[in-house]
Amino acid sequence: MSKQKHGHQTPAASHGTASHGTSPTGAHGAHGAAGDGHGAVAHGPTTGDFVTIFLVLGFLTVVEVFVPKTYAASYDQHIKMILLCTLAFGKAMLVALFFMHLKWESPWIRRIAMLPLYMGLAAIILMVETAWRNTLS
Amino acid sequence: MSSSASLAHGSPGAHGGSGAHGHDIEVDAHVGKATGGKVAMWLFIAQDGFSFGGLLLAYGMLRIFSHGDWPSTHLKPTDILGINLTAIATFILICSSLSMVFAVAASQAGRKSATAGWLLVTIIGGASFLGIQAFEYTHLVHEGLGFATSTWEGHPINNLFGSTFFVVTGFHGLHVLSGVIYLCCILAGTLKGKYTQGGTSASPVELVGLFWHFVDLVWILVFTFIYLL
Repeated sequence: MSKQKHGHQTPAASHGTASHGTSPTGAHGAHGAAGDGHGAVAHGPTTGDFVTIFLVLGFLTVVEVFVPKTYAASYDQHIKMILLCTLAFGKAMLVALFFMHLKWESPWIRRIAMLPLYMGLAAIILMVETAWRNTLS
Repeated sequence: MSSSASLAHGSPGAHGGSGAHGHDIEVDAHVGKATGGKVAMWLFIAQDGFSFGGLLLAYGMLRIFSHGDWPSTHLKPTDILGINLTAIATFILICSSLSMVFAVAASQAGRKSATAGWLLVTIIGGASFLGIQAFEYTHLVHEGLGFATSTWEGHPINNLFGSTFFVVTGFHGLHVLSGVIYLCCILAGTLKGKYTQGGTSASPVELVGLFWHFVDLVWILVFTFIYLL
């Protein structure tokens, strides 16, 4: 892997920011822009961002609990499944992008993180195979 | 709070260099400023994601082939499992993720007592989750749900439901237990002042944070697929 020197940093300014806690993960903010090698000031998440994400996750959890009760009838099962899967993947994305800082990571780290998504491909293959066997029988 | 207040490149908290000491920071063309430990942790998380993906996929396929007999023709998972209690456990885990974010931030800012405090809050959150899971298991086993044979209030139910339920949630529970032990080790190091010295010293706290958020992320999916669907 090739490396380059990043010689136009602003350690003093960044240190001061971190100490005051305005940007809980300023270092991650730095990571995100690091991949492109430019020297512009990175815009990482703030404490307010994290609290907002936390509140959204809490709210979506409450919504999730009410979905099975609202769509309990057998004819509502598909709506229930779609709603719950959307909510779950939405919440998982929020955790990955913000709490795990993927939004500010380099493209290679993001690619590593996305590897388990290939399990979705396995799921599709299994479903197609099952459907094919059902047509045979 | 303005996001423009976030750190610039080469901050002391950035992991690939020692900005606190005024040195240039080496930026890798592929992984940016991520340390080797961070890349390794992401690789571990990815393979662990495959493990959970495989388990959830097996659960889903077994359920599809049960043709509605899951756990019995008259019962749904929501009838057996305590949704409200598990939702509280889910919320506790989300709260512990937030406290973990604050622990990482405090560590990168060099605040030892704040780091230790937030780590302790995270540990308490994880221990509470495990306590709720132990209570739930005790209740379910008492009612008749088991690995080898499963009945519910005396009536036989699909044993595969019990088996897969305990395997998937138990595997996740082991991750939470591992995370709590890992957090305790990091807390001990923090109290000795090892992770609040600037530069890359905060990296271990960030790594345990990544693992903890992953455990939270997986639970969000497990909660939906096993408890709610």
